[in-house]
Amino acid sequence: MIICQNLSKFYGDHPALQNLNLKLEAGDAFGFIGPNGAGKTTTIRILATLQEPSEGDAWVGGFSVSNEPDAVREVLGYMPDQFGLYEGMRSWEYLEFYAAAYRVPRQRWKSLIDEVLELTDLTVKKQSFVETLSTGMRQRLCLAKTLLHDPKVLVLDEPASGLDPRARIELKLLLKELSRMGKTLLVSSHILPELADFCNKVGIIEAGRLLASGPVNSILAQASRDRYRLRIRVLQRTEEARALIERSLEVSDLSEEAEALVLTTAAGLEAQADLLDRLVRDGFRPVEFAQLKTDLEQIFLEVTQGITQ
Amino acid sequence: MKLMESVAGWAWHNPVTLKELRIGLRERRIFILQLLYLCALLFISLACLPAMFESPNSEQLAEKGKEFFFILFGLQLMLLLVTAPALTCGSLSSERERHSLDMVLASRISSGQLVLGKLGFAAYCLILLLSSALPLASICFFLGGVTLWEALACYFELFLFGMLAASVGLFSSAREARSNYATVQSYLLVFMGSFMIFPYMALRFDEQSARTTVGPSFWTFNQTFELGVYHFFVGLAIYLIGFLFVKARHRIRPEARNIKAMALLFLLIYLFCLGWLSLLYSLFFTNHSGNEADPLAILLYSVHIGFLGFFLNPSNLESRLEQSRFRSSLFSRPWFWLGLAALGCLFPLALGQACGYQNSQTTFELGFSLFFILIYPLNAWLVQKSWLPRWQYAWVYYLGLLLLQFFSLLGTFTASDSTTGLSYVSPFSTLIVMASAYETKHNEGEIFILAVSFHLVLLLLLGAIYRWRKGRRQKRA
Ligand SMILES: Nc1ncnc2c1ncn2[C@@H]1O[C@H](COP(=O)(O)OP(=O)(O)OP(=O)(O)O)[C@@H](O)[C@H]1O
Ligand SMILES: [Mg+2]
Repeated sequence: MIICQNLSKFYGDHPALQNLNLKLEAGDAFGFIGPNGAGKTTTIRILATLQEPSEGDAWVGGFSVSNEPDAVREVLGYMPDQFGLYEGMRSWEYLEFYAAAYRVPRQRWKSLIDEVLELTDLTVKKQSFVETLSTGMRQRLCLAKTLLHDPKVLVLDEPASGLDPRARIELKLLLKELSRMGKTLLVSSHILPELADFCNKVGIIEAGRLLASGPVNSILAQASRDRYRLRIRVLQRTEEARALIERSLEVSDLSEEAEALVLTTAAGLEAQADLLDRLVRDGFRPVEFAQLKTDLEQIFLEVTQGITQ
Repeated sequence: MKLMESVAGWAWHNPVTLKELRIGLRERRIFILQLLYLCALLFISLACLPAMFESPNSEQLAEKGKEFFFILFGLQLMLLLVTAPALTCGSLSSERERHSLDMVLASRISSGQLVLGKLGFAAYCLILLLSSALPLASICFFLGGVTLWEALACYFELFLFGMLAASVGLFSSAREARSNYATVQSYLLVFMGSFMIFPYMALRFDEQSARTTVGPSFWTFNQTFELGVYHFFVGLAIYLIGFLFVKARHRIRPEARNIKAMALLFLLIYLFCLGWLSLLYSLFFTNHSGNEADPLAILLYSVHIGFLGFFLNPSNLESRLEQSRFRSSLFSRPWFWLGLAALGCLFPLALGQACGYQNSQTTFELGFSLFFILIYPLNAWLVQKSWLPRWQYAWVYYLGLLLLQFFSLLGTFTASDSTTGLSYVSPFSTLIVMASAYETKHNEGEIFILAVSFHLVLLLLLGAIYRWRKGRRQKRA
C-alpha cells in the first residue's frame, strides 16, 4: 500500500531524510518512531504530497507521489502534527467543507458526517463551534475529517500529542478499530508504548535514516536475543541482596524502581535459577522475580544509541 | 459535459468560497467595512448634491448628473482600493499561521481552486459593496446624462479594479508567511499602483470645455474603431488579475501545471494579438500616409517580445513532473518557436504589402526593427548563459525591458521625430529613433555596436545586481 524507494529530502545541504526504503501491505499498522528532528514529519509530508522528494519516489495505493499527486490525495487521509481548525465554523460545517474538498458526492454528505461523528464520539458536538471544543475533541474532529472520503491509507503525524492518558487510550482504541476495518495505518510518535498495542510493524528512524523496521515480534526477538531484563524485589536486607546479585550475575545496568531492582543480564536461565534459590535460602524473602519483556522503548534506546555514540 | 461540470466545480461549487462566506459573514469585519464604505459615500453625496439640484434647466441638470456620476465613480474606486485588499490580504497567510493550510492542500482542492475560492469570496463582498451603493448612484438616472450602458460599463470597471486590488492582497498573502507582512505589502503595492488612477480618470472622463463627458466604454466602439487608453487599462487589469492569480497559485504549492494547455493558451493570445494589431495597422494605413515604420515596429515588438521571453524561459518549471512534461511536448522544440516567430514577422509584412505599402526608406527601417527584436532576447540569453542560474531568466528579461523604458523617459533618447510619440513604449522604437538621430552623423555599423553594447551593459548590470543580492542572502543564512 505504501512503498518508499530511496526516498531522500535535502534542505540545502542538510539531509532531513536519506534513502528511506519502506514497504507496507494493505491492512498493516505501521508505527514510525524517532526522536525529535528525525525526519518523521518530512516523510509523512512527502507521502501526503505536500513536499517533493529530492531523490527517490514513493507510491501510495499504487500511485506515485510525484507523478500522480491527485490520485494519491484521493486514497490518503492525512492528519498533521500541528493543525488549526477554522474558527467561526460549526463541527458539521467543517466536515462538510472537507467532504466537498474530497469531492464526495453531495447526497452522501449528511449520512457520512453523522457516521464519522458517531465513530469519533462527537455526535453531541455536531452543532458546536469548533473553537469551543477541547484539545482532545479537536483531535478527534480532525481525525473525523480524515475519514470522510473513506481513504484506504491513513497517515497520522503524532496523533496523540497533547492528549491526556484517558484520551490517549480512547484514541488507541479508535485506531485499533480503524486497523480492524482494513485500513493501512502509518502513525508516527515519539511516545513508544502507545504504538506497541496496535502496530504490527514498526520502523525506527534517526537523523534521517531508517535504522530498523519490520514486524514488531521479529524486532523484539532480535533485540532481546541472549539478554534478559529482570525485576527482583526482596522484603529484607535490600542492600545486601543487591551486592549478592551483582556478585552472582553479570549485570549490565542495575537500577532501583519502586523498591524493586531492575537489571539487564546476559546470564542464562540456569544462573538465574541459582540466584533465586540463594535468595530464598539466605532469608531475603523475595516476593518478585520476573522476566520483563523488552518493550519498544528499550529497543528504541538501544537502536538509537548506536548512532549517537 | 465533463468540462461543464469541472467549470461549475471551480466557479460555483467551490467549497473554499462557501467556507470563507460562512466564516466571513459571521465576523463583524465585512459589516464594518460596508458601513464605512456607505458612510463615506453618503457623506460626500450629501455635501455635493444640494448644489446640483439648483440648476434651472434640464440640460444643465444632465450635465450635473454626469458630474455627480464622475465624483461617485472616483470615490468608489478609491474606497474599493482601500477595502478590497482587506478582504484577502490575510486569507492565505493566516491559514498558514494557524496550520490549517496543509490539510487543505493535502485534500483534493488544487491550489488554483483554493486561490479562486478566496477570490470568489472577495468577488461576493465586492458585489455586496457595489450593489449596496446602487441606490445612491441611481440618482444620476434621475438627473440624467448617463446612459445605462455607460453606467454598466463603469460598474464593470469598478468591479474589475476592486478585483485587481483583491488579487494584489491575495498575492501578498500567498507570498508572505505572516499576515501582518502580507497586509503591509499589499497596501504598499496597491498604494504604488493607485497612482495610475489619475491618468486613468483623466482619460476615462474627458473634461472638454468644463463639461464632463463619460468617455466611450469598453464595448462601445461604434462606427470607428477607436483605440482608447481605457481599453489598455481594462486589458491591463484583466491581465494583472490573471498574472497575480497564477503567481499566487504557484506560491502556495509549485504544482505541476498543464504545460500544453498553457502553451496553447499562449498561442491563442499570440494569434489574437497579432490579428488585432494587424487589423489596427491596416486601419491605420487607410487613414494615414507617410512614415509608418514606428507603429509597425511597436506592433511587432509588443507581440514578439512576450513570446520570445516565453521561448527562452521555460516558465519556471520547478517540479520534476512539469519539466518532464515540458520536455516531451512540442513546445520545447526550438524549430516550433522559430517557425512561429517567422510567421509572426511575415504576417504583418504581408499585410502591409497587401495594403499597398511600398517605401524603400521604411522597408529598411522595418528590417532594422525586426533585427532589433531579436537583439534583446539574444543578449539576455547570452548573459543568462554566462552569468545567471538556469531559472533566473524571466526577471532579468522583463526587468531589463522595464528599465529600458525609463531611459527614454529620462530624456536619454528623445522621440522628437517619432510620428506616434510612443517611443517610450518600446525599446526598439527608441533605438530606431536613436538610429535616425544618429544617421546623419554616424554610419549603421556604429549604431549597431552602440545598441548592442547598450543592451549588454544593461544586462550585465542586472546580473551583477542578482549576484550581489544572492551573496547577501547567503551571508544572512
Ligand atoms: N522547512 C525546513 N527547512 C529546513 N530544515 C527543515 C525544514 N523542515 C524540517 N527541517 C529539518 O529536517 C529534519 C527533520 O525534521 P522533521 O520535522 O521531519 O522531524 P520529526 O521527526 O518530525 O521531529 P519531531 O518529532 O520533533 O516532530 C530536522 O533536522 C529539521 O531541522
Ligand atoms: Mg514531527
